[in-house]
Amino acid sequence: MKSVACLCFCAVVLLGADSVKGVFDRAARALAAADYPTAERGFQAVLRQEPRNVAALSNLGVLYSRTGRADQAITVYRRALQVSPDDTAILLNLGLVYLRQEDHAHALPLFARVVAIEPQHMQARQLLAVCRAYTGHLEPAIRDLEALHAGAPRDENILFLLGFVYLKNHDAEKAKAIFQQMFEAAGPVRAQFMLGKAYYEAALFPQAEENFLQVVQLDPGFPGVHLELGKVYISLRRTDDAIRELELVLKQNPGDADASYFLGGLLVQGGRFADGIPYLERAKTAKPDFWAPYFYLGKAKFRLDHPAEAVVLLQRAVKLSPDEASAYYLLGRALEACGRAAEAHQALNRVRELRAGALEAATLDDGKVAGAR
Amino acid sequence: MTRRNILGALLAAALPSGAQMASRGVAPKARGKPSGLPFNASLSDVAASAGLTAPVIYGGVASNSYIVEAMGCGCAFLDYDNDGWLDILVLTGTRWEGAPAGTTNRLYKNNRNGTFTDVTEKAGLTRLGWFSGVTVGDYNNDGFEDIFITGWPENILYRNNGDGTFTDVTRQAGLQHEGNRWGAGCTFVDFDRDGNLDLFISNYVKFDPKIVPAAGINDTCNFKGVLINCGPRGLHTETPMLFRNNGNGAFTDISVRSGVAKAVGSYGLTTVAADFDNDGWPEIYVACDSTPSQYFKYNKDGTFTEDALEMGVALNEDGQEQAGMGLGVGDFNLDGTLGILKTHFVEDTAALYAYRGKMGFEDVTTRSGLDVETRFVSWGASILDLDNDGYPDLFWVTGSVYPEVEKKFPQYPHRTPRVLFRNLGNGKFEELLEEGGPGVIAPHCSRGCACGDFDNDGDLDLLIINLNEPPSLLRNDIKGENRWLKLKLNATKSNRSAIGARALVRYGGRRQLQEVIAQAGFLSVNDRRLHFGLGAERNADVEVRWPSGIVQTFKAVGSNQLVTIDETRGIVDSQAFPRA
Repeated sequence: MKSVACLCFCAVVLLGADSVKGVFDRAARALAAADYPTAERGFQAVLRQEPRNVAALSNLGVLYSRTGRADQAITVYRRALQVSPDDTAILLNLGLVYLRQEDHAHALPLFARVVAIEPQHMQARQLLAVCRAYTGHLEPAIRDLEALHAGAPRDENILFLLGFVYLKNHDAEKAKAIFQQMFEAAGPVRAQFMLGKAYYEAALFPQAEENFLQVVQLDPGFPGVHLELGKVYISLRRTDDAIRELELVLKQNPGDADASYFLGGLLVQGGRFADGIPYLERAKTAKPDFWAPYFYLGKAKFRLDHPAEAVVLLQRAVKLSPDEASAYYLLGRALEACGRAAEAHQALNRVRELRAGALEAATLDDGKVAGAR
Repeated sequence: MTRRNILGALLAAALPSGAQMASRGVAPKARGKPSGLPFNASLSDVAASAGLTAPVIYGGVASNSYIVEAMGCGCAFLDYDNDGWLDILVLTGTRWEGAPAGTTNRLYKNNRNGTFTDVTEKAGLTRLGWFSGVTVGDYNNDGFEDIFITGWPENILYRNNGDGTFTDVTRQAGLQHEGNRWGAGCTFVDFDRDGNLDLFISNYVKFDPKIVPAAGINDTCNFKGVLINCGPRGLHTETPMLFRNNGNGAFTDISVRSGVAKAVGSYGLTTVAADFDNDGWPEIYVACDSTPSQYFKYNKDGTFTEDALEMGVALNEDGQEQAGMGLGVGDFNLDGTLGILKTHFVEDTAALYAYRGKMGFEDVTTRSGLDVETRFVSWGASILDLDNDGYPDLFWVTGSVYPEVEKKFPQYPHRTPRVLFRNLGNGKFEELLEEGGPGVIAPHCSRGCACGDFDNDGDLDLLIINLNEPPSLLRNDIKGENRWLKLKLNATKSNRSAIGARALVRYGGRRQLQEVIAQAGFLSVNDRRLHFGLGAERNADVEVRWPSGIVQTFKAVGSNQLVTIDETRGIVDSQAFPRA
């Protein structure tokens, strides 16, 4: 205890001697140099002295985002917004964290706030349209994107988003017209790639496959095409084809976290539990705040009769994604297998709550329905 | 389908938009090379020549306004006159705008020559309505099978008078419930082993056409953009009911006291009562649509605990809800325990559960090879040895719920074929298409399915409900020399229907367990006699365990015969069946 007190005292003395600004500047340089441990220590030190230091909070948010620690990024960004609620950079960054987790419902109001403060913020307007599309508000999304398109008719991103939203709205004709413009703006290879992605996002997987295969024909080394093909084949349940594509990606780039995750999950879902584990371990390391690798690892361990290891992994999965009924279910089964009946019962009761909640949310409101008749 | 919910089709997204049934959006796995093994059974539809020509009127032909029109009904093989030949009960629905004249439930008496006579009116069973399920059992232990039918908005108990007629005794029996409810699955079960059959009813949804919007009113009720009837998601769930038999012709509602009424949050359909955990007491399993299925374990004190989640049969192996419709129960892996086959919606697999003791059930769908088939909305299911090779096969019927869809999406036809998976004997099943006979590949919009030997020729046939068409009667014709054994269990101390009695049969190093159950398929009733294919074995050892606790063993029982076993006297009759 004495040595800890001594260390703390020394730290305070050091910090006092070295101004908060100095510590911050060094941390910022470390962040720019991707020396994340040093940067993190520095920003944390600043915050111990100045807990409401917005710059430190938002830089920490950037750091956590870059190191795959989404939950911590969300925490520090939210703290920053409590100090500076109208800071559009923080709002945008927080929205992006949610968006990367495909939590469109949480991202939407953040982007909406940015647009309310800065109506001409192009990126926020596009991201707001994406969120609207994914949360079922297709008409407003289309209106936003059509306005953006009118202002920037050759912007590839806008063309892509508008085409995708038209597809989601089952408006094939308009989508086709937009994709034609995309071809002219982006060039054939890139346009095919973006078209493939638009079809994939609209769950039109056979069409997505067609486009990505065109890309491979035109440019076999086009970045990302084999990963996208792998995802398409997963959706089409063509396991062997998916494995082939994902293995190709990892051959070229063994550290590709997405490919590792998809391949690992695919192998686990196909019953090849031991084969999937190394890939999922890599994905887990690269994205420590993403619940899904923990889930699939947990499933693999459970099915390989290692319930105790499965429990640890699945507990992490539910901590990262507290509303994921599937993870609680598997956790409950693993706990049962470990003889931890009371905890298993608790986990399965959480499944019951989540399932009941989802059912409740879907139940027709009698009053509204009667009125609709 | 988002990346957060992962891997495209592999871990299904949230339920489809709008109030609908749960589908996981799964594409079928690629089929492997066929085994090339011959299949010696062939199923042919002989309904027309058998006299089953009246259509089962159920809802609209081109479209349905409400979910009650889409769900269909069950059927039963039963021997209502105790002549040793299976008779047939076919339930009916109606039409919202009024049914054609002559629409009614129908009872067909077996003429013992491959044909049947419609005796509905004579039997006093003429009735029109939205009927769902049936269970058959001798609730008053007078030696004659009675019939309980569920439906919306009410259920009916028919007492068999023993003279070819039935009387509606619903009110006298205390089975008339308050208000309108949609009874669906039902089963007689002697849960407390007092020798009297009690009654369990699963209810489907709270349905009131004054509240539920008709198709086309609410555009969240759509299937891939086509407007359809709403539900079940979006409609309020129901709770099951349990009635204890007082032993005097009446029942007492113990739904609350027993704890079954606590089971909320599910849309109950087919119900099976069987002793899955081999402890001498029945459990009750309910296939539930788009919500967790239910498993009621009897606590031996008048109460039940619902623990389907803990037993691994509420959800699929990834913890997701499925649209549970039909149930087959049988010892498909010959381990001496009862497994479960549950059918689901299109773009989902059926589920095959193997019992694993204290850990409950294990979902063996994928490793069994069933995941090659996800094309159809699936209903009445059976685990049965169709070719008598000693390995139970899997069979189920299919048919869409949305007649409106096929015009826009021909890849989702309204009428679809039956599904047959033959047991390869190594833990795997192989889907057969035309190899199963013309009755398998014929497309219909089917629901209920019952299995039984209607022509007493030593194999298992199938009775199938087809919506807005006559039923199918699939006669099984077997080639080759595979042998069989059929057991008829006559209870004297246990309930007279022997519901809950079980037989473990050993033959050539294999063993198979079957139990007399009072509902299976989809809301339907199978032949009460237990049929075992024996392959090449000429005899088998039989162990019978009765609900009363009496256990009997019989060594080297000869094959190719129906053996009648009395609870106190042992084998009292054996009858060879001539090959058709």
